Amino acid sequence: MKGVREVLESKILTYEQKVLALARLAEDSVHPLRMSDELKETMEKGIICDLNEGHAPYRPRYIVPDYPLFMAQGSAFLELSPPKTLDEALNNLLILYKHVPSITSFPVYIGNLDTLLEPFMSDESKDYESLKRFFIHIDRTITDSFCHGNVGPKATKAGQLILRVQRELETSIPNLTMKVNGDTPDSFVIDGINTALKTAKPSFANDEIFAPEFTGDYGIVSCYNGLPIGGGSYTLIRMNLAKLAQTTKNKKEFLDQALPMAAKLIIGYIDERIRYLVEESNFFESSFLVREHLINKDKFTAMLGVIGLAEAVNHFYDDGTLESHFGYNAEADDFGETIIETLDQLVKEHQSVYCLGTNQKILLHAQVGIDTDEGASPGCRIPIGEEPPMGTHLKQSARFHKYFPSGIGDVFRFDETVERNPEYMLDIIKGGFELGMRYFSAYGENADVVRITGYLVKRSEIEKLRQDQQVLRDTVALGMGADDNQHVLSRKLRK
Amino acid sequence: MKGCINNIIPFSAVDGVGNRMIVFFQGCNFKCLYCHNPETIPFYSVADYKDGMVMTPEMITEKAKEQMPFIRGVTLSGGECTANYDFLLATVKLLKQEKIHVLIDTNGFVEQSKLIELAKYADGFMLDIKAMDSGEHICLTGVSNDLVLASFETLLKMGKLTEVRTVVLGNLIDSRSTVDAVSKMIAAANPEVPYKLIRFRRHGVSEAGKDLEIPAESLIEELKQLALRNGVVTVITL
Repeated sequence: MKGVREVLESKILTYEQKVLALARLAEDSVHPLRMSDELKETMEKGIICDLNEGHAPYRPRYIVPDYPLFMAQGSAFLELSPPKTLDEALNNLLILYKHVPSITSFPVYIGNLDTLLEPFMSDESKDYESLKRFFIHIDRTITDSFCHGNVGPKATKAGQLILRVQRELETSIPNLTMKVNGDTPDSFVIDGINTALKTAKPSFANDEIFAPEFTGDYGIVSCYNGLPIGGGSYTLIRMNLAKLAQTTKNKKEFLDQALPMAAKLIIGYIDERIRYLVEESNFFESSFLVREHLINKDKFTAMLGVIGLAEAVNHFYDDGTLESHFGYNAEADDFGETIIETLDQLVKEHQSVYCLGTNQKILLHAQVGIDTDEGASPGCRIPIGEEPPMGTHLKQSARFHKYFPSGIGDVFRFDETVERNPEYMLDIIKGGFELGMRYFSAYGENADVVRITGYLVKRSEIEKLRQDQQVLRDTVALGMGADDNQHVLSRKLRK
Repeated sequence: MKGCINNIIPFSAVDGVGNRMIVFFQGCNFKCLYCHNPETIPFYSVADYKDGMVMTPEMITEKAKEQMPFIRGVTLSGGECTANYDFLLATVKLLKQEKIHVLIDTNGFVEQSKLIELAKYADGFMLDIKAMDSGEHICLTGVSNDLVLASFETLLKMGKLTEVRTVVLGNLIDSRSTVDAVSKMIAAANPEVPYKLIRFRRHGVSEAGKDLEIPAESLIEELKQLALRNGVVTVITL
């Protein structure tokens, strides 16, 4: 962590980035959490990582406000009446976004925008201009790519206009997901595909899997996290399976000893962070979002992330050939699933008292990594550089999706020929969903906006930062690190 | 039964609408100057075939089933797949038994009785019309286009024509008169059949095509407008 003077004297950070960095330093100067030496040691080894969540959780990591309720009632605290026109609706939303906390201090969920705005649609060309201004405002003020909006699963006029705006603006913010189910018309999905090839969004979420898990009301948030609407996730702590595997001699020791021990430590740490947040921080006693029922403690959950499954498996199976690796070797893939199944069981056996949004269960999350990670691929992904042919890849990946309600998914880079045949990607998405895949992301090889791991960054902005130029959005630095350490811009080209 | 298969691409975005597995048969009865895959032209006996794979219809069908549920169907291409008629027919029949959508990508140089038999099973055909003038056709491919034009009419009549394509050249053939004639024939029989105009590119082309010229972008656009004016509903340019 940088020192106070280093932050405030920086020539690269913007004023806003400095204020946020200073707030993090202040938070980290106190140590209210009870942490065992064993936990601290495991964290120092990088096996457990709190992803820069800070030493004193005073707001949930991910907040998923009930925006339809906000539309219906306005806000007493913000002195806003329910909107009657599109411009009023957009203005109210932009105001509320500035008051939705998160770990980055920027909102990670901005609503199921098409269904939210459809009632206000009137004149197409005027509405388009209003939506365009709205999205420019978001991109220039919510300067963090973990901000995520949803569209679908119903096709709407508002949804079409929102996608058209994305194609015109080609911004990295907000991230966008299209929910897709059996009733979503192909034409709407193809509209989404054409948009994704141009500007790396939307991704596609399998609504038929997510909806029953969250009894209907869920949002796709931050990178690709499924979370209950009107709640969110208190915290996300992750386990590095690759590093854990390196501490063990064989598979049996890994499964029978190391994994249960690490799970116990990480679950304990998640519970301790929730305890401080709920019982001591007074967040739920001081937020107007709670008072106005836009969020409710009863709808929160917590997330346990994993990274480096591929490398953990390869630790036991690598014999120097690609054929021995995760993604190529059926036995290695089976062992990978056994690891996740075991962890899933350990997590399900635990009752986390404040996770009332998910029946007191913590949710598994395939974490996409952070910029400094090396030697551990995101979640359950096959490492970049080792990607098998697409069909094999998708089938291998799909088997892990059922374990991760709070997010998992691969990112594919497509050749420009796909732009002339979006049905090609439609077939791939539908096939994947049929096999139980819950999430799919793609971008076109020529796009400036690219999906780094879960979030979006412009390649042109990464280049600016490489030349020590100041950039508006804080996630550009993360994208540059992820390219330096994980070569994310070198994904296999699919055609 | 066995056949020589030069290559199989499990997922292809460029061989029909949607995602399709594409099978390249070895051997072609044309020797097009602009051929992008000249290695697929020679015919081999199964015993002598070293460059690709010797496969049975069962093996091809199995490979297609492996790609499910991601592909919309299979496109059989070449080389010229109809030049290996018995093997092609057996493959098409087997794929259809498995309810797999089948398109045949052909140069149309095939006896009409064989084409009609194939069309009983295949869902559609993508036909190349390289030149309307027979002299030009011989110059470009080495053979006359009589059979090609017969196939064009047969497939139009049977409603099995999925797409027609013409490679537009900057010289050697009068692309304008070919596009004019082909688009009129499409419009008269079924204007809904898409017509694809492919701009000649050098990629993969052998020494034989070194004097061919890449047409101007403006010519492609002009020919597209011509085809539209002649009544073709969908004109795709590449």
